[in-house]
Amino acid sequence: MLGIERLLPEGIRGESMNFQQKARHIPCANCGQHTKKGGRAAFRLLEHTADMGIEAVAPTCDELFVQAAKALLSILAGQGRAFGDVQERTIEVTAGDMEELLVVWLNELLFMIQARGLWPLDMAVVRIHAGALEMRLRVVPLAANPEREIKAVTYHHLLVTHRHGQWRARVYLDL
Amino acid sequence: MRTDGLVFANRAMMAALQKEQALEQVRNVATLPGIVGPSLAMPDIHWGYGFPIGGVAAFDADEGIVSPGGVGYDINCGVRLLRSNLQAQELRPCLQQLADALFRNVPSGVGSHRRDLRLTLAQERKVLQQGARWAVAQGMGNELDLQHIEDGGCLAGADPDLLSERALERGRDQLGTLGSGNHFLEIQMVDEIREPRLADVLGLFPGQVTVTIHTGSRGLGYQVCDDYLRIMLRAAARYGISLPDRQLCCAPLNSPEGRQYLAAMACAANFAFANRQLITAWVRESFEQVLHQSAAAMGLSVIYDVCHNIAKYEQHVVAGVPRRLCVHRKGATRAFPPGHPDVPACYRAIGQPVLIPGDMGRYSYVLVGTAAGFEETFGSTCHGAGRLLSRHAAKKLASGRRIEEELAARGIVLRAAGRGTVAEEISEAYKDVTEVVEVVQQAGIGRIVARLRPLAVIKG
Repeated sequence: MLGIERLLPEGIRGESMNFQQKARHIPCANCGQHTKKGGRAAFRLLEHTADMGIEAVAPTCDELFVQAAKALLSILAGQGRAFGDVQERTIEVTAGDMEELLVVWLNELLFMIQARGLWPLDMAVVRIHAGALEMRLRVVPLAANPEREIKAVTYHHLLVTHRHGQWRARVYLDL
Repeated sequence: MRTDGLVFANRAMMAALQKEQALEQVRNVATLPGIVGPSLAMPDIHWGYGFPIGGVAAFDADEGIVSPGGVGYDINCGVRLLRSNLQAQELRPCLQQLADALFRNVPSGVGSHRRDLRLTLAQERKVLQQGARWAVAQGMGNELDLQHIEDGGCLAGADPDLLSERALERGRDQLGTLGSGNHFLEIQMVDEIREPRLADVLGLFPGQVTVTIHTGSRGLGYQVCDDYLRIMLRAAARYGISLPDRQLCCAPLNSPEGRQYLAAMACAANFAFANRQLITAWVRESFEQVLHQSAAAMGLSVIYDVCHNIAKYEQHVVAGVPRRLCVHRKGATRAFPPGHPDVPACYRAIGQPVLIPGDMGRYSYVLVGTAAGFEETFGSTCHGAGRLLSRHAAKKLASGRRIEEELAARGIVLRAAGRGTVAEEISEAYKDVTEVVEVVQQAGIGRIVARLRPLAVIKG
């Protein structure tokens, strides 16, 4: 595996982890606190002929952005390996509206993983409004890249809605 | 809609298309300002994002727009075909060894790269300006290679200053890498010659070993596209362009945003040309290591190299009037006719070579462009088989099967960086490329010259 050479110093094996499982179990400081009101936070993957879509629902906007991130991470399949110390990272992004903000956030997360080799262990929204998002993450360096490459998160059929107390997002990825 | 949609397909293809959103995407493209002629779709059309995959649209140089979504994230994703003097049966005894050598020498899969290739920022900027010429200047290829690449392996007007630091960062480690997904490297044999006279001009003969390289501009291209989509979202609003889908965001060709995108896109296109040139050098190196002959003695030379995600200014005649148009090809191949000045001199009598890869278990085709295609589709044709099944559906179909063994039973050696990719890329996930090129041939927008069959497949 040539991918390992980029990140892993000689002789270090790293901790083995399944990306898909990891993605589903990312704890989120913002998630769960609203579920008592009956809201549901979840994501599912959407079929697309060549690519893939994700749909997320959540009772709050904060949770929606975390759920969408979890959906994205679950697609980066394969067996990875983490090594090194857990680090703190803050991602701050701005956009013209909520829909664009979602795409920009997910692309930023992808860049952190695919270009910088950092895997998020957990994340929490610090602040979010129509034009800006600040997300705090704890990340761990990856010893091997996820098996699947996501080229980008697209603006195709993009949707973020807030109706009857429920937030919903739909976004398609270029694989 | 400002114009008609025109889809090249047979009845079965049309029935399949109704089930997805590709036709809606053809219609959406037809609403964009300054579109000239119909919003076109080639027979490998399928649902994309923004433009359909297999989409072709031409825009007036003065009134029209340029859309990064009409080119796609993998700018100048393309295909290169190499020929050899070797017969397939000569290669059989060492095919496994050769597949191993290619898998070792050509980085494939996510995150892999050659340890002996480290670019400084200054070198990377040169790659972006010079494309395949840069690689040849480093001793990775020869002058003849350059003559057999679309645009000579270098798009003019590339300006590296228009790329973000992030795009440059993503590119630096990824030059000379195949990538993953549908990208591949294949050793093939010429299985059937349809047009012996044309095949002779291309240097193809029955049983001959060929090599196909399919890759693009990697992370650098994705980043250029993403950066400029954000710019174009603002620009479209500023220029009062209404968008049926945000992914179609665009700016007038003669606006600062439009010009800057084209100059940035040219950088990514040149990166992709250099990428395929470096991989060519490592293919030659691999053949030399295994067969103990020089690449020159084995006749390993470039037949042609085509882009299939690109927007370019071209001269076309519309309703009897010559016009300068910006032709977007998104999952479509330029297919210029015999006599066109942009076709290399050695092929000018027969038309531009068009390379159509199929899936990893069946066939690929070599075609040439036609005069009818130049008139009807702005000199464009299909770019591949086109996906039929979603990745999820393909994985389900592959579940429990030993794809590698199935291919081996058909005489095909497989080397893959990831198991998941193989399942998603099974033959059944794609349309039969033979049907696709038959539609092209019947419609007169391409002429089939030869069919190639895979011997060894390297997947990322």
